[in-house]
Amino acid sequence: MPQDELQSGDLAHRFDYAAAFSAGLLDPDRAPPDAVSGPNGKAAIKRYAVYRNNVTVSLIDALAASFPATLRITGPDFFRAMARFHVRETPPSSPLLFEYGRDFPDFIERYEYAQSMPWLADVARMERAWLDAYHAADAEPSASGALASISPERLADTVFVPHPATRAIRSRYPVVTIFAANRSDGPVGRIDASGREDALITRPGLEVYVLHLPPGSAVFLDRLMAGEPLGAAAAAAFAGRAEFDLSANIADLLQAGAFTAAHQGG
Amino acid sequence: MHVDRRTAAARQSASCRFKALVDRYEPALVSEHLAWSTHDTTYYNDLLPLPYTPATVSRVADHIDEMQRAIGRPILLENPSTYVLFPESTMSETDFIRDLVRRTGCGLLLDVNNVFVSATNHGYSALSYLADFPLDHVGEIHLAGHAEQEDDEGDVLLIDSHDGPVADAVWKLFDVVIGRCGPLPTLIEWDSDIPDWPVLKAEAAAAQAILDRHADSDYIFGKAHAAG
Repeated sequence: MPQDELQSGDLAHRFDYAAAFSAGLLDPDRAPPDAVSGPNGKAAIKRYAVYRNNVTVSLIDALAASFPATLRITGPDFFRAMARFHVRETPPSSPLLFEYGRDFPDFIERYEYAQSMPWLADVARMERAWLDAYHAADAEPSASGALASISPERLADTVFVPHPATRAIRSRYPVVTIFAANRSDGPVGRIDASGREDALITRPGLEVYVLHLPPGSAVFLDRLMAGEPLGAAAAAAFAGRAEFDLSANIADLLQAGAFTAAHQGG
Repeated sequence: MHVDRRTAAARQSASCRFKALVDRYEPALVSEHLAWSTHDTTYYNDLLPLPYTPATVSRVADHIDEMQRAIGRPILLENPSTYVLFPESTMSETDFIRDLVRRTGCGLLLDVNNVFVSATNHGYSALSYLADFPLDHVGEIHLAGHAEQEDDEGDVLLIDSHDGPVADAVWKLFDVVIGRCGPLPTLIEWDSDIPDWPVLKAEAAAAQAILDRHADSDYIFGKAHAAG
């Protein structure tokens, strides 16, 4: 049915039940809608609460499934309370629930009770990027041979095409170490929360691949992913860190499958 | 979902994705619930109820038409479990569903647990619901376990929880349905608190025993309908 019909008064009025029914689903302080009842006019407070509960619990479950390391770090009670606030504030807008939770890391960052875990939001960003890489389109990564066809004098003009699954994560905390320890089933020892870590996340084949990037590499990767030519990206990386190893970085990124193609820019 | 308040463009894109899915996997049967899940920009991830009126029957029929056109084949529409009624309803659920079948040519997926849950919750007889249900259009059966809660008056309120064995009363209703329709593709939905394999396997065997018992009997509706 075309959207403009929904706005016409007559039809909109006929389908008021959806507006009335949905208004209180994520708002526990709101009374159940007048439009519903039990049989023979019986009350519908507990009956409507079944839908409220289904909606809220299923969306909390969806976040728990997408952010397992975050859940493991906080424990289920903390996680579910935090997720409940987020679900009520920012419910999904897409029926594709693997897209849900894109705003969750920012929510965690300002969530009052998570302030003692300042690295938690970055762990959630890693998990969101992991899920994006997992669901990204399949594509054949380009191997280091892709550079062979480019003449050495044009190398600085070379532009890389990022693999659809490639994501770069930069953190002020050891987020790769925390993520890796809490995505496995093994025991988690004490992790020193000082020291920054960056990551490349991509999926060259069926498995998501997480690479702990050396210092300076994330800037380099960000610039290449933004479409800047190799020379400009390398200059930015050197400006940030004089000991940046250009050839090792190119080799590592290509081997990880971060790109699908390289071609001469300009 | 069939009562869908998303924009036409969003529904169009969903239809294209759904067609791609159906084209890729070529499932034997394609089904969808009589329910809605999205309003304005929010997706509620639950099967929400609707009033049964001539206006809503037209709207749902339009959406079934849209979906069937998109995938180029008829779907099976599934009867819901509901916990509330809409006083504005002017049609029974079975009349509503029969009207949809007549208008769209869709088939039906009969969830026998949903029949029992809704009948208990709203105080009518599951057997009379089945007597009014257009059984000759059923192409698939669902069975499931349910949980018990209480409504505001302290009466039993059943929840379609999919987290336990099929109730005895639901097995009896399944037996009645298969006795009338003959064997139909049957799915047991147990997707929460999943038990050990032998328990699940025994549940499937119990369904198979009922299907086998009616395999050669002289049922009223033919196997032709089972193909949807």
